Amino acid sequence: MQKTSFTGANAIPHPDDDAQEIVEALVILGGARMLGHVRRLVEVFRREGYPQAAARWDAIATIMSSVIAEEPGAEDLDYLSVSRLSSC
Amino acid sequence: MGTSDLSLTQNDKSRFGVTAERLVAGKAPLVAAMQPEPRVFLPKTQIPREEWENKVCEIVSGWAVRRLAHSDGHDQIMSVLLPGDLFGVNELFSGPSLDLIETREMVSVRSIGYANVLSLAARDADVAMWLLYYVHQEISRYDNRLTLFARGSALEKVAVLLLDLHRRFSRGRSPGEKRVRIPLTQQDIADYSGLSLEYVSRTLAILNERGGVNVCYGAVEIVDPGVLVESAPAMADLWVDNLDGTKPPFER
Repeated sequence: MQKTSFTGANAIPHPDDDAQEIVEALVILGGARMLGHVRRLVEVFRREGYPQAAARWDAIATIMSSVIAEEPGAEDLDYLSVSRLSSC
Repeated sequence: MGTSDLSLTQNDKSRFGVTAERLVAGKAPLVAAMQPEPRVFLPKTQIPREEWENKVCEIVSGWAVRRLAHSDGHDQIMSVLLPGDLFGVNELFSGPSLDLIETREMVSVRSIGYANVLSLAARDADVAMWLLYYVHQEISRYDNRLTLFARGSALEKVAVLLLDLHRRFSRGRSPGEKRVRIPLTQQDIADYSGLSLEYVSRTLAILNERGGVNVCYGAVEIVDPGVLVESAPAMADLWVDNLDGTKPPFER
C-alpha cells in the first residue's frame, strides 16, 4: 500500500495537533469518498449550531483534500483498509 | 453494519492500532450516553417511527429488518439489523429515510437523540471519526450488495447474503457457535436478495442438499458456513471484512 506522506507539501498548517492523525486515519479509512462524508459532517455541524466544530472539521476537510490531490494513489485507499475494520 | 464488540489481535493492533483504538473510543461514549433501559418491541411488528427518527439506535437483542415499500407495491429489504447493530447514523448525514423497521423477533432497542450525538461529536473527535467511519462502511456494504446483485447468480446471492449474516452475527461471539439461526422467512430473503420466492426456495434446497443450511418454519438455520463459501467463492472473498483480512472460523 502506498504510504501517504504528511510532511513537506502535505504538512498540516493548523494549530490542531490532533488534525494530522485524524487526516491520516480518515484518508486510510476512506480516501476521497471519506472526504465527502467529512464535508457533510461540516454541513450538519453548521446547520445544527456547532460553529467551532464546523470550522475544525472544515479545516480537516481542506487538509484531506490537499493530501488526496497530491497523492495520486490516495483515492484508492478506501477499498484497501476500511472493510477490515468493520467490527468496530 | 458491524456489531458492537471489537477484539483486536496483536496483528490488528500493529496494522491499524491507533485508528482502530480511536474508533472504539469513539463509539463508547455514544453507547454509554444511550438511554439505560431499552425499549422492547414484539416480533413481527413495526417499530414506530417516533421511536427511532432523529436518533441513533442500537439493537440490544433480537433481529429486525429495514424495509422500503415502493410505490408499485414491491417491497425491498434494505438491510438486516442484528444485535449490536446501530441505525440512524446515515440519516444524521443525509436526512430522514422512508424506510420502515420491522422486528423479526422480540427486539430491544436503546437510543440517543441526534442533538446529544452532535454534542458528543463536536467535543470529541473520536466520536466524529466513528460516525464518519460508520457511514462510510454502510455505503461500502451497499456497494458490495450492488456488485452481488449485478454479477452474482441466484445461488451466489443467497449464499453470500446468508454468509454475511453469519459472519456479522458470529463476530464477537464464541467461535464454537457454528450454527446460526437466521429468523428470516423465504419471502424476506427474496425481498433482501431481489430474487423471486421460487428462486429463493430452489436455491435454499440446493444449499440444504449440500449440507449448508436447514430450512425451518419462518427461519433458515446456517449449519455449515463453509458450504456457503464453496457455493460462491469469488463473492465470498469480496465480503471478507474482518479486521486482519483472514477468513472467519469454519470457512477455511
